[in-house]
Amino acid sequence: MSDMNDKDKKNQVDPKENSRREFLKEAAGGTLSAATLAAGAGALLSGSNEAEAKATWGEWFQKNYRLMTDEEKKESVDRLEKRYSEEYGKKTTVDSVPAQEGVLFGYALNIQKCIGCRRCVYACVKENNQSRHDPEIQWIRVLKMEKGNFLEENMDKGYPDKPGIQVGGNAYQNSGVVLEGEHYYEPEEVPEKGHFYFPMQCMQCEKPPCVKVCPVRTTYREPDGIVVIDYNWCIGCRMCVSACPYWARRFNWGEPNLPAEEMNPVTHYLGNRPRMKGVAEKCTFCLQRTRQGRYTACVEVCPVGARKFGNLLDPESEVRKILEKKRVFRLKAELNTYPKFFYFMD
Amino acid sequence: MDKKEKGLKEQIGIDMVVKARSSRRGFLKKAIVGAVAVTATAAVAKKTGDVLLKEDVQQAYLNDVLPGDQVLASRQYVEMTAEEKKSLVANLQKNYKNPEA
Repeated sequence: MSDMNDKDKKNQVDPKENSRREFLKEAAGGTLSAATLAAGAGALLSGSNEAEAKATWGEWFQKNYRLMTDEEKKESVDRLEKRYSEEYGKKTTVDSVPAQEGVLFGYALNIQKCIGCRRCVYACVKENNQSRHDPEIQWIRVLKMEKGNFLEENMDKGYPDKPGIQVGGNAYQNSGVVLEGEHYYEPEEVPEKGHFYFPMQCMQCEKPPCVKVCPVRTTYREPDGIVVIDYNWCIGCRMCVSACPYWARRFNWGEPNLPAEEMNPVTHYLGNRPRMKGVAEKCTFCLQRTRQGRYTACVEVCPVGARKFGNLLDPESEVRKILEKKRVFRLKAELNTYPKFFYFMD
Repeated sequence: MDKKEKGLKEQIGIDMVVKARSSRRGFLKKAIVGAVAVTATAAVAKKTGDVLLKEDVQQAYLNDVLPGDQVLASRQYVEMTAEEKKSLVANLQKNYKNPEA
């Protein structure tokens, strides 16, 4: 009995000792928890600067832009302006000007005049804050094409000569063949003999397949015909990239590299504001400019005046005149996407 | 007697554990452990993802774009007739701001 009591006494823990041990245990546990929490949060926010971190919470929980009230839009725009201004070290404006009444934008490109200088490509990159390197993203692509030799007078001079079966004329060479890697042509001067140039960008379709497939409706057609993307609502599923028959959409596989000194601080929420990793982007007809009555950057910079832009609802606009008077064709017209980007010849 | 004492101690121990679990402190402890677990898991997942998914982004971009060049360049382009152009403009005007279009 007495042995048992001794044993019990040994097993009994002194309340003070118990308290100290508990305290130390809890303190160690607390420190470990705090350290893990801090490390975890640090890892999650790594790569993002302070300005971005501050805005992230608000951005994650904002609504789809189309469903926002005017107040919510303003709040979102203010947050972004503050964030970009801090991030890029310059006063940045984020516009939210809506489409103008009675305007439907259209674009026409004179394929005979284009000299392939790619000034439009670089003006677009600069204006629209595209990633400069790793990856270098470009919304406009200019392809170098070989000129064909299909002449009307040779139509009946096919091989074999009479008598025999005509093969449809001397169209041995295609009228346009893209050679491997020809997007990256680096000639001493342009245009090169025997070639023509074929610029391509978003066609701003009236019936855009990219809009139809978007599972979160982050991309949509505005009343002025421009197809836009709410970058904050984009989930990066790439459905739109796959659906676009014109390969006009670009996907940010990595964090875009936009040097602060090269950043264009005049931006639009649905246009050229800096994008993030994991979202799609594309040409928006420079809506930050065109909604203010200006030309797109590519139209403005073209040295030969091959690019024309205007209101398709206005019979006096350049683009309507071109539709009336010139020889016009569209890319993949048979898909009934109704592109509002027209190619024309004099 | 021994059994009784032992049973009593066991009961006290169980009560203390139950009390600790259902008390405010127990709740806070669970909440903290939960928060730490979630954050740590998310951090590990992010880091693992960053390491495993690190790829040549320039190549990934080109893989998206280059096939389009080939396809678009090798097509036949058909000039629009005057009638087509007229009806296109008429449709654009008719369907402007028409949600049913």
